[in-house]
Amino acid sequence: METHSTDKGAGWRSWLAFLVGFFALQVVGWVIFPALLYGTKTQPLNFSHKAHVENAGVGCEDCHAFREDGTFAGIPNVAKCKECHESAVTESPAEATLISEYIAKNKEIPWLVYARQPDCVFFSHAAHVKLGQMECTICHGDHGKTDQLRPYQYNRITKYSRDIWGKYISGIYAFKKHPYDSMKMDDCGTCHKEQHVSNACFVCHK
Amino acid sequence: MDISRRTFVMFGVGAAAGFVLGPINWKLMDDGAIWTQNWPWVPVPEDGETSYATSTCKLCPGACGIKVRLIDGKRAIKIDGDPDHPVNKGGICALGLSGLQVVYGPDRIKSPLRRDGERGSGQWKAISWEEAISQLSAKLSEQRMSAKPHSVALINGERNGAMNRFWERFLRSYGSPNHVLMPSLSDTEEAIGEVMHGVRSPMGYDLEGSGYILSFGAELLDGWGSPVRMMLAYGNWRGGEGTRPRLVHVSSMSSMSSSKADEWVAVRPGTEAALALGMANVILNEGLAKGSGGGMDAFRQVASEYTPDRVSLVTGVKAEDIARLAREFAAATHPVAVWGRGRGDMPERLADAGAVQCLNALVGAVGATGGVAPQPAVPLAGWGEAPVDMVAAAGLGAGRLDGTGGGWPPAPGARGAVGSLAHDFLQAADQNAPYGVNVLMVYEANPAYSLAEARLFREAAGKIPYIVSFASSMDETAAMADLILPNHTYLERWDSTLTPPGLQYPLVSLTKPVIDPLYQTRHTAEVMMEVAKAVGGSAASALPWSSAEEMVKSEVASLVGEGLVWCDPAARGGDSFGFAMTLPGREESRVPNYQSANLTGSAPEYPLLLMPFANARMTQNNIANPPYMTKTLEDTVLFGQDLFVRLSPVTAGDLEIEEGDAVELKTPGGTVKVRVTLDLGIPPGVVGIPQGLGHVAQSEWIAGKGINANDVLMIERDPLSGLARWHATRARVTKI
Repeated sequence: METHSTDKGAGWRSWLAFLVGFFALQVVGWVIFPALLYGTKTQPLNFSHKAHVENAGVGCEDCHAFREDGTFAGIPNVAKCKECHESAVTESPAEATLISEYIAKNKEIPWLVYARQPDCVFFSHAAHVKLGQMECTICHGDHGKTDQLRPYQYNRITKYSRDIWGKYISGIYAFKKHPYDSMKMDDCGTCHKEQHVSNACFVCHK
Repeated sequence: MDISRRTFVMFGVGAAAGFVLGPINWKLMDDGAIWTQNWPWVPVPEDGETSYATSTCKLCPGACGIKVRLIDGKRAIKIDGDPDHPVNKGGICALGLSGLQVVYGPDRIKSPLRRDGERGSGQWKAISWEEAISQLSAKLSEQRMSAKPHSVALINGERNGAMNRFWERFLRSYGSPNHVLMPSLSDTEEAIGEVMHGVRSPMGYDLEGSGYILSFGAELLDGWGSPVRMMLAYGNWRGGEGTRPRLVHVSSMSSMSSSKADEWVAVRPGTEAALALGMANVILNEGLAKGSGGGMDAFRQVASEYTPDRVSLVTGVKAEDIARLAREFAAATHPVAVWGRGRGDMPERLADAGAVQCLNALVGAVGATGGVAPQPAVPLAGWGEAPVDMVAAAGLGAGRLDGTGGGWPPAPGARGAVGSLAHDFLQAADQNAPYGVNVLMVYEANPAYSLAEARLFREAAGKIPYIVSFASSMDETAAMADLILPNHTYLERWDSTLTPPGLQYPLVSLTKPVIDPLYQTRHTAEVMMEVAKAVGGSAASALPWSSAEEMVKSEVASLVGEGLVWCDPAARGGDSFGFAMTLPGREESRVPNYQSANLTGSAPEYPLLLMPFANARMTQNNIANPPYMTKTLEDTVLFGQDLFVRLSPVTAGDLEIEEGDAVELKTPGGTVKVRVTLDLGIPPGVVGIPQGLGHVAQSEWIAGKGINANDVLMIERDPLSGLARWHATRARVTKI
């Protein structure tokens, strides 16, 4: 009889141990692992899209322009900044840094690009914005309305921006609310499929 | 609480379940895979600003426009077709795509080299350009001093670019008549142009406008003519607007071209011309002819002998099929017959080519829409007569070693309409008769590898005391040289290409440097300008330019203007050309007819026929197959280092050979070890061998793969023109 009750107690305890182990690893997986996996860097200086758009009346395409040959210029170089910021136009400390560290020294600002795709991907803004008539916000969200540049998070193993895998560590597409929540190959492929655009390998992998 | 073993195990199981059902392993798998793409020791071209430069591919004579993607204007990272180019309209072939491996590959010769050891031992000493140029100048001066400028010869792989005329001019004013071109179908085409049409020009086919294309052995979709143009034309035939043209392919081995045709007419090896004459017989007998030419009566008389029944016995094609094809062809709108076996790098017999050209005349295809005509000449700004001093005149008077020159009909003992005969040149050099070769220069050619019966080059080279190569990359010929003066590759130099083979309208397409030279190489034109000055005499004043760019542009500046391309798509045919249905000879009128092949060796000793076949994924000229292309070959062509020959299961059964067996392949030219793949697309008694493998001089990524078909192929001379062809060689296959 003693053995029987011991068995009963042992059964209860071992299932508890199972749950403890299970939840411990869940906590590790969902909370600790992402904290370890991603490193954080701050941008070299703050840039307020909001101030530029609302106060200075600059449009997106004034800086993020398409070149004459149809290619997209991406983030503007410091020469573009210099067009307005040769000397200070506000009292913001970020602008002081801009002028003293970059414009005066004619040095490019080492921006950390949230949306940069891996090297193996050929992404053309012209194809999406010009041919596909897509709005910038579909992929970049409200980035153009922000006042602060958020911290840049990168994957310590792959060195790519966290925005590629996305905010949610699960990486499960069903949980996505916006196109810009993640930008992995499946995300590209899903949209291409919806829009009846070719998903052949060499469309993106040249 | 005491922890029992069981509790501990259950904790572990729970932790494992928590791990598997959590994100860690899935995420790490993905990151791990991406991490492997970014290993620091994996070479990745540097990042930078992207730009594009347009130019013209020089890896074959196809004259395709290319668009090179560059990083920071200096590192080429991708070669695409130029969408604005008239020939390829944005398309590109496997070789064009692989061009980066030609430029950045490890076989590049990085500076001038002087032989430093036994010839062919691979021992070289890097020397300066000053020393290299003075060595060549000294050699060439020596020959002129001793009144032997004719003993200097050039083997040239450039048929129609500016460098062809540059070399011709240099050699004339230096005093050598021995400007020898690598063989090509263009040799036959030019001869047919001269003999039948009175215009010395290769043929142009208006294939985009054809309604019925009848190919006599021309592998139209396996690299024939300008390969990308052919792919585009095929796409248009199959998917274009209007009536779908009919494509009929006559050959004895299956190929990409035969499988894409509407009908494959499998003839016995080498009997294509007989079929053409059989069809002409039906067309004339049934009064279906729509056109004719001079000498029609003589041709009618010859054709009358080629009745479908007789032709059937020769070709193996049923008499009723011959008659049906003839009626179809004669009734078609815009028909054209194309001649020249393979992809057009082998000359043909004049009589064979003439027979098909007469068939073209009968259906009214000569000079017609969708038909064939001699290519219109490009209106180049000439350089004027080359100056020829007394030494040079004496040298030129010595006559060519290959016996060509002098026009048609030929003088006794001379080769008539043909420009050059590389094999005859080599045999004359080997025999020192009528005189020997003291200096052989080789430009954009690899005769030690590319010439059929390649042993002829090796034997002749043994008798030539000084060989100079201008190769950009180490190849079989450069490896046998005494001095190498490396040329820029096509992405680093100025060059030009005129109308490519088969194109119906005149075209100029310039090649310009899109990257800075990677190594201590120099443009051969600029090297020879310096050499000419040092040699003196009429050569010194013959090359008045200060740079290769100036030389290349001087011919075409008024045509291309600031751009790179000029063409006149509306122009068809020569300014005026006639048509004779005979090949008028010196002694008698030779009407195109069919003669069976005259092959070396005896049938009992060599019971099989070895036939080479082309493949658009293998190169055969001086550009060795880049590894990217070799990777695309099937396991039934190359497996590991083993080359496979194609054999009919019927023949294999007789010889008790099975798929994959290793065999000894023996011809009068030599013996090699290969493996066998069984193929119903090969007629019994024939061994099909792929051309373009078996290099030996390059790095491990190119050399040592398979065997070179030219080591076992034998040439057969055309009794009329002397042109060598190598469509079939007697062979024996023994299982080992």
